[in-house]
Amino acid sequence: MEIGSMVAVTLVQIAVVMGVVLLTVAYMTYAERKVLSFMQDRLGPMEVGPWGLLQPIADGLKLFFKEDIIPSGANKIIFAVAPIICLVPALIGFAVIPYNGSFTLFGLEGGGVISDLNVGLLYIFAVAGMGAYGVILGGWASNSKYAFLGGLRSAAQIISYELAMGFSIVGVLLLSGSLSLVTVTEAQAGTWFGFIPQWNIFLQPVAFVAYVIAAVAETNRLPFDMPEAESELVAGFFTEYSGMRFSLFFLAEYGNMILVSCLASILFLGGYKAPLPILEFIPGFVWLALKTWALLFFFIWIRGTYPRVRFDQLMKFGWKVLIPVTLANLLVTALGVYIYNN
Amino acid sequence: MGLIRNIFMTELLMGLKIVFMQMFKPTITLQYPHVKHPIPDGYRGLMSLLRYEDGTERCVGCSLCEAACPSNCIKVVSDEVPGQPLVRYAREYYLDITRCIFCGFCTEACPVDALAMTKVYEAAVYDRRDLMFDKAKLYELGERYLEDGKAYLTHHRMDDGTLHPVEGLGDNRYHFPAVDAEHGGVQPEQIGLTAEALEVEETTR
Amino acid sequence: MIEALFIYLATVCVICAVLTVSLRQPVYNVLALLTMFFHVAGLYVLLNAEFLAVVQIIVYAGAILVLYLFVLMLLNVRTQSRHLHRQWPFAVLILGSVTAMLVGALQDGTWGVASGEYTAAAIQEIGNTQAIGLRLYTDYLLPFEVASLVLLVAMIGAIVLTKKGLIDDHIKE
Repeated sequence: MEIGSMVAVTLVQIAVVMGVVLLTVAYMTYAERKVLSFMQDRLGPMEVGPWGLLQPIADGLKLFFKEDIIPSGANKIIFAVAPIICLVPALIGFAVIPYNGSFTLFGLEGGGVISDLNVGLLYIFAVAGMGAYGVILGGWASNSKYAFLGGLRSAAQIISYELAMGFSIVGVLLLSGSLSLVTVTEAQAGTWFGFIPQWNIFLQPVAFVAYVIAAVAETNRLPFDMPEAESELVAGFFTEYSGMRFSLFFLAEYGNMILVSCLASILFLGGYKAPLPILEFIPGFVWLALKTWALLFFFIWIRGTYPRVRFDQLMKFGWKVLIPVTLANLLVTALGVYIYNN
Repeated sequence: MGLIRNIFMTELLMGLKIVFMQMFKPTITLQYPHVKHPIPDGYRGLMSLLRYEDGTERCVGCSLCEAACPSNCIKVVSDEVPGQPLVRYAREYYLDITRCIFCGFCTEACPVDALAMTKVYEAAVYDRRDLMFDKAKLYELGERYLEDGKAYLTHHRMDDGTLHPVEGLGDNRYHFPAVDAEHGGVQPEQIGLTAEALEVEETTR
Repeated sequence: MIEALFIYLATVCVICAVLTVSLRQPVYNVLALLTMFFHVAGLYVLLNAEFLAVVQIIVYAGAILVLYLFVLMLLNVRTQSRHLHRQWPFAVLILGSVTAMLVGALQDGTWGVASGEYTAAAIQEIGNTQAIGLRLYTDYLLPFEVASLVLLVAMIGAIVLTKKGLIDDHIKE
């Protein structure tokens, strides 16, 4: 393929993936409000459009026209840059997410992924770790105690749970023998006995649970939303933010949620692979979307169920429970793979 | 057992199940601006002034409501009806809704059922001065929400039959003491003061 | 194309490295260092060492530098000339010796020439990550484990230093 059409295909892929991700972010906020409402015997947004379906657009417009306030004593440059540092890692992680098998569209060949890096998984971890800078710097530059405390808490939390998250996926990597997300997905094709899909969740249930817990903590969601605990820190690291900058932080949080959900569905639930051979007529991206949405629903579900844990409980759980458990799981998996291969 | 329960997080899963089942229960909220709760009679909403059937104002300007008001938000300017030296009316009547606590004491104090509370609770305005109700505004409210006012007075048993021709009502309202023709003026026992109470008052003085 | 990228990355690296030690605001120093790490990672990518590049970002930028920032914020170091002026002779000494080593290595003529079985083409074929993994866990297993032991010792040392009072109390009891 000549370089011109390659660039064109990649650009179109980027545009489509970003469009889908941002649309999902917008409707994730709507879905969150709706699902939480139903769980609390309410109806949620109902006014803008039928069943409040245009609410995200109204919210976006409102945030866009809000006044941009920079608090006095704030470090203006870092205050302005922090939301961008927070958002960009959340979005560029999608570059290595395989959303479909190889396909041909209008005579052009697409790989089903923007870039099939052979260190794709590590790449996602690398850029996801950068999100912490946005949070810390935003909290520090706001010149506010609430924001500062939120930023520090967030840094401690993200560093602690990144370890557990990393350990939990090493088992999956041992099983598929690659860091490329495409290979990991392809390794999960097929079924056992014709009706159990060969997903990693059945081989690595402990790792899956640990991953989901760590993912909730990584994305600062309830019950681990210490950095923005509204009853103690107003809004945590983005207390002082308003208007567009605030919405960038918001976008980043939801973008991260979608990223970790995508990653979980690829690592543990077979990504774009259909669960059963009969269902293979449905295109791959639909399966990935379904799995991701199921996990996103789970995020909302636990938000509607559990109260916030205390910060020392969070740290204790991360270091003294999650990391030892994932390490033990890693050891058992390594032994199992060694025995199986010989 | 407890360890196994901890490992499999059964309690957490039970919580998740309960919350999930809650999703399918009918909602208990109303879509407020479109659907409103029925307001019971006797609801203490915005104040209003009432008229008799023939259109004359009920208020006689006695200022009892002003005296009864715990938050001092009523101001009555009493005057004689021109041409009728013995008949009084309220020339001006002010009610500051921003200070009103909606206790309803004024309606109970009113001897002629001129004051009644409506079922209006959406009092929000853009200009605070619009909440300083004057006489015209109060009579306008009374005309517009006449049914609310009547229902209020009937519910609180203050209706003396001039609003609804029902017997046995009005035992909760204030009655002017009957004028004793012989002595002229009001006898102490007619306003609830016994002779003993009067004596005690005399001695303490 | 490659040369242009290299010149850009190398220039930014040098500028950021200078800024890291010359800026007055400690948080800016850390940010300059962060930018430098990213550009060093870019240099690794140019050398077809994407595993190293990503690990560079995860370990240095994602973990160590966040801790730097964390500590800086907790200590709330204000803009001031620190005690650098007392240490400059040592700095000059170390810098001079390192520069001398580099110049010597460059003049030796072996700089940048790949030797041994792992040529660029070979690495491309078996994959960057696999090549590192194979070497690290077969030929260099002992040095690797020794390095991890050194880290463990450092960790225990840090715990002993910070919990000194507690340990003393324990011994007395």
